[in-house]
Amino acid sequence: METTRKINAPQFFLALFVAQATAALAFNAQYAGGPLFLDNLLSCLLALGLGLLLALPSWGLLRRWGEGVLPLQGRDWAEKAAAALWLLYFVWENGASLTLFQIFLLDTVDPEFSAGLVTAVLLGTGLYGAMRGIEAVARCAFCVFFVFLLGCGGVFAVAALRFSPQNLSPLFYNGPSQALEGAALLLSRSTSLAALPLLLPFVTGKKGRGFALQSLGCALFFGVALTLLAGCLGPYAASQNFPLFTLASLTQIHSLQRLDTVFIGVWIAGLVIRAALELYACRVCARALLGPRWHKKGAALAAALSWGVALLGVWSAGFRQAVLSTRPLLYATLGAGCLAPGLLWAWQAHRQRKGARS
Amino acid sequence: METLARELEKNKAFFQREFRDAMDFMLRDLDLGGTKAALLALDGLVSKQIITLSILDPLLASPPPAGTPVLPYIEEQVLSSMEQKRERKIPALLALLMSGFALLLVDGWEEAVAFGVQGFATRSPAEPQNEVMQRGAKDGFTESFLTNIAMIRRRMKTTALKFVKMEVGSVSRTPLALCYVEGAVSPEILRQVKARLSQCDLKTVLGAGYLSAFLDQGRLFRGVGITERPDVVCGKIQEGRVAILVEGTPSALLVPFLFLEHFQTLDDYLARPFYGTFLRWLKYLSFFLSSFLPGLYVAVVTHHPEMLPEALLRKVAQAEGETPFPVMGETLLLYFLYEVLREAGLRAPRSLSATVSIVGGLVLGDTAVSAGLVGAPSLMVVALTAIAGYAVPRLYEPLALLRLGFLLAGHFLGVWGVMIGLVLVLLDLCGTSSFGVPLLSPISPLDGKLSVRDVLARAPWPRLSKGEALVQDMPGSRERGQ
Repeated sequence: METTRKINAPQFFLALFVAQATAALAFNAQYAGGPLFLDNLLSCLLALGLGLLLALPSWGLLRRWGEGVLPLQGRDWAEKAAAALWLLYFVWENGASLTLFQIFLLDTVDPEFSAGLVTAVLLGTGLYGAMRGIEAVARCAFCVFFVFLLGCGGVFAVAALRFSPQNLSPLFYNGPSQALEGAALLLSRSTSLAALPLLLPFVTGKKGRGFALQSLGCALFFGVALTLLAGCLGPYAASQNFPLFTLASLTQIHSLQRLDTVFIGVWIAGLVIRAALELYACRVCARALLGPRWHKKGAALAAALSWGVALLGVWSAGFRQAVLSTRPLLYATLGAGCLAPGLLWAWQAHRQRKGARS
Repeated sequence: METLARELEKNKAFFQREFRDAMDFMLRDLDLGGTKAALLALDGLVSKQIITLSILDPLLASPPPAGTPVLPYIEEQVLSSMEQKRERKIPALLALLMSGFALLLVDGWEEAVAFGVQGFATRSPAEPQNEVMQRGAKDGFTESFLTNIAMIRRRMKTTALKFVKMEVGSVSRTPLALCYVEGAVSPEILRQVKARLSQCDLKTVLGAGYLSAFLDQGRLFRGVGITERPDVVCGKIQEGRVAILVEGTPSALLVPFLFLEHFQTLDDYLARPFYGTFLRWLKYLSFFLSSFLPGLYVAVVTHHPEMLPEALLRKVAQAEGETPFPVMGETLLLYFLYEVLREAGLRAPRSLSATVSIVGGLVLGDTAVSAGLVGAPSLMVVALTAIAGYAVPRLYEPLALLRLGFLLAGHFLGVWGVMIGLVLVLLDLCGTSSFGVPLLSPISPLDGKLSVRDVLARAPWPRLSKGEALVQDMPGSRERGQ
């Protein structure tokens, strides 16, 4: 069995937090299921509970092999198939988050800007992190977490001055559908579930507590962001493509006219960490799929594919719809984060029993 | 010829052949009570006075009585040199000769006696030029590693202090000493240092810097420190590090060396804690200013002018409107001009360096602005960047590269490029370790206690003295607990 080098649980789960919170920065009404953002507070709680439940197969799979052993090593066709599916899933998720970022750059910031170049550099940096290893990514994420905390904390604190209770709408005014749609959105854009079986073997320390705190942290962060959006922007938020950016651009600290650049800076830093984590997961998959000599090339190929997905997502409306739609992404997340670990666990148990009998 | 021959003439002929066309080779024939002998030395490396007084005079005054074994008699009853040894192997004898020893060859003996009579000129310890301290000691290392060893030994009177001799360079055979405190150093780190140095396949090693590449992978930030100060070496080896003193280099290498150590100076520890803490933060800020300011300036002015306060934006716009180059062009131009001036000031004869500074700094800078070639804000940004860089002189090399990188990132990708660059640098830093100790330790991986003690603040000495902060015990270290 292949054993792994260890990073501690707080570092790893902070990295996951940064990656997941970054996904929340691209939140908008088009995918949230409606204009009443306050309803999505319940989405946070639903996503939190469901996320903890759906992670159980991953924990079972990891417990089966014991501490520090990769469950995915390409020992048979089932593991190779799982590795291939996981790799494609991470490419899709990575491409989706970069597509959103490119749309943001082109639509909101500067249509003349070379968004493809920014994405390429961003992915290149993420790939560099993935090549340097999970330790480098997790340690870097720990530093980025403080940048994230300072940046988002600053923007949120200044934005809170504009908070007006009159902007708040009653909960479930249009029924519970938006809350459910929001929960589906949050789950679909989270790669934590699928990352657990691949990356947890590298982690040491209190993993269960770490995962629970990370999930709670994400729910809290998103909850605060939604409350501020609803309280500061009111119905205007629903008309914006990227309402959190709009909120940031309306804030100012003394002579600094706008804080949107701070917001984008934080978003980019988070995106690099997210890309690095996902590409590292791709590296693990490529190793299981193609062998130890190909894992770095596999990660590079995954980065190139993600870039292709992001570029196509901007150029073609149909492709964008396919990449960003909540339902397909949710099914993929459920498949990669819950079904695949469960099936792999069952397959490996069956194989072991058969081996013991023969 | 592997070992000495029994016949003196053969041995003399061998050495004369080896040192043909070497005017510094000296050979003096002696007659020790009927036994032929020869004294060999290299001029300039030995003290002729010591040779005369402690070798030649006693030898000629008390020749060995007939029938007495010559070599043991000379060693035990005639010569009083502290440093003397018998040797028969030719390579070892050649090395001794070229290290300032005198060799006494006696007819009928297959061994020679080597006497330590070194007398080459060395520079006296002087105040370090590149590591100036306000309150610390004023003596710095010299080119002689033996003098440097003595300077360390004088400060640490413990038998745990060890100096292990090694040689590097197949041609130069440069001697070096690994200096460490037994009990504090990690045996594994020490083993790795020895292994990496013994893998050094250079022919000549003319300075300690040659060895850095063999001790470290050589990414943007190195895990090898360098100091000219014996007091700094004493502090570092007490924390489990290994110092490498190389003959001919007035500085010592330190391994493992963490990123945050670049910001620590002896003055921080000699000042009162609150001022020491203030100095630390000043240096952190200087590092950020020096690396990011030009890139951020170009990014904000080119891509995000909305970030600037209106009054400042008007001033920048007015200044830039009067110059022919874009902001990036003039910042890059000024930056290269500054680097050229710095290099010229460094290399120019001392009598001319003041002229270079005046012509470069005052005449060129002032004229360029008044002629409308560059804007005053750009000049100020580059000047501030340069000055801030000197607050952390140990990081000058990576800073020069970072500035240029952030400048280009800021120009092409705006603040976003600078941000991606920052994460890239962080990834590089976080992924690098020096002998198994993460370079960014104890910040990432975090050890709250250590960070508060000596990184985020400089704790008072009573607190610093409680519990050791050994480098191998840093969080994330592979040697932790050893």
